[in-house]
Amino acid sequence: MYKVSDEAVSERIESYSRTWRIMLETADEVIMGDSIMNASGALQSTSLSDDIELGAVCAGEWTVEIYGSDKKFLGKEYGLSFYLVDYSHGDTLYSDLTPYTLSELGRLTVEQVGRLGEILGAERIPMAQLTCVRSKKSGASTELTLADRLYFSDREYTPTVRLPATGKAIEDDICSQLGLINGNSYTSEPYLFDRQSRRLFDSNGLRLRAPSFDFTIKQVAKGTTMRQMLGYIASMHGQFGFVDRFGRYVRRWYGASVKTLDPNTIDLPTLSEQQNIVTGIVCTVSDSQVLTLGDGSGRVIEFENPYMTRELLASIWFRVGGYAWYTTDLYHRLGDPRFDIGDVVTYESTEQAYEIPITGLDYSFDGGLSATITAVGISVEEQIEPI
Amino acid sequence: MQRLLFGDTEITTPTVFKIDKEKVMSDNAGLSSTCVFVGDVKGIVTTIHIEWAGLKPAEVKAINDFILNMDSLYFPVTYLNEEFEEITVQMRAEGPAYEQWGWDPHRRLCKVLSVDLYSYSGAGGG
Repeated sequence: MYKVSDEAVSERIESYSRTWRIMLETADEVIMGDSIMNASGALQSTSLSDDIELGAVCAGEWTVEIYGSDKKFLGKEYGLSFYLVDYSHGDTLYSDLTPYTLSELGRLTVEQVGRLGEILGAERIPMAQLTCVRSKKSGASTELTLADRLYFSDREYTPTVRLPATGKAIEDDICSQLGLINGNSYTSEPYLFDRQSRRLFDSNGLRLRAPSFDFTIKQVAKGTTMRQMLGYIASMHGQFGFVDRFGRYVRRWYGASVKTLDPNTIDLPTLSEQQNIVTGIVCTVSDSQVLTLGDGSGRVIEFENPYMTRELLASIWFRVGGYAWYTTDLYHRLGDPRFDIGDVVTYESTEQAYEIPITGLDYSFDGGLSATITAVGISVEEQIEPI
Repeated sequence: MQRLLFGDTEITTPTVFKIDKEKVMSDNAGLSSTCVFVGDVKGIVTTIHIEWAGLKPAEVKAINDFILNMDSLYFPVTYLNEEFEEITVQMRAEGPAYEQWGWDPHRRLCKVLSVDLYSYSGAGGG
């Protein structure tokens, strides 16, 4: 979950009536304010419609409608952010400009500079770093489809590093080829955490490490795409991969709840009657080798990974085994742009609290902001075994 | 009324000047799970209804140059707002109506000219 720096912005996000605007920035210009009044974004942590997934690497995609611009957009890089409008703010004063750098101000028109004072707390909430992949013009309006760099990861991967190489070297290489920064920390990652993201210690008080998380890739099979390769590395770490709001490629797994949803800001969610509980893990290494841990009494996470070893699978099993969640569809009427894919949020009904891992996050913007939060899993009908 | 400008042109003092403001709600407005009405505000639409009486042809033309301009939908309007501050806002005109004398060659006046001007207030420019 993204943390805003201004408490007033945080309070306004959680209020029951806000006014949002989008800022779309390139290296030399900014589109903001009433020029963008329609946008939607789709982010996901699993490519499956009915299950969480180890090693999923999904691109984030946004559609933005721009009014009154005759510029060319295709192929350009954009930073997309949201900001709150403060209608009560009067004229923009010199002091309102101090949070901005000269470079930022240099890209703005005189009219845009004159309205910077309306940006609450001068705070823009970064949402994504995107490339324009489609542009359709109709009259004065232009509809853009923007995607992060993982959109281009279905090309075949040709290593530019000498093999054998570590997982980190391969991940760095793919990120470099895709124009991404590898945001994964390999120095802190071997430390183990429990399912509530608490640090684990041995009997001597030393932190438990999993040095076997790093591994060596001896060869890359012909035809393997960059997305597949990133997926293999992500699943070796027991995680999924995505591009974060700052344009960095990162991996993560579901942790502890980051926020309890205010019932005044949501519609009643659709929840499965039973929990999905991960009771088994199956990794297909090759046609002749399948590694299995746990049993098939509940949800079984199945994935392919030609580099998987039994030791690494055991480390992953330690993290994901027993993970439980309810299949959920939730309309967050007053959407919160601070949520990230992979965050866990809590919904409290009158009877119990439900922890919802965000596997899908679909934003809808029209000057207001709403979001559909999804935790995929099998449907209610599918949960009963046929007799 | 202190003065009314369309662009840099000072317009004849109107006889009726009415300001309406309306919040435009986002599609997310509605009842939440607790039956509380919540919703974001997309922006505020300001409508100014203006009427002039007894205008000479030259005065009508000065107004028409802006409200019937086919090349530019929006034009800057300077006026005193409801808090009596002089502001300049880009507005568009809709539904001008002209009530003419006409038949008397000595009294060629526009008896009443009425028009609605609209602006959408939000943050930022283009």
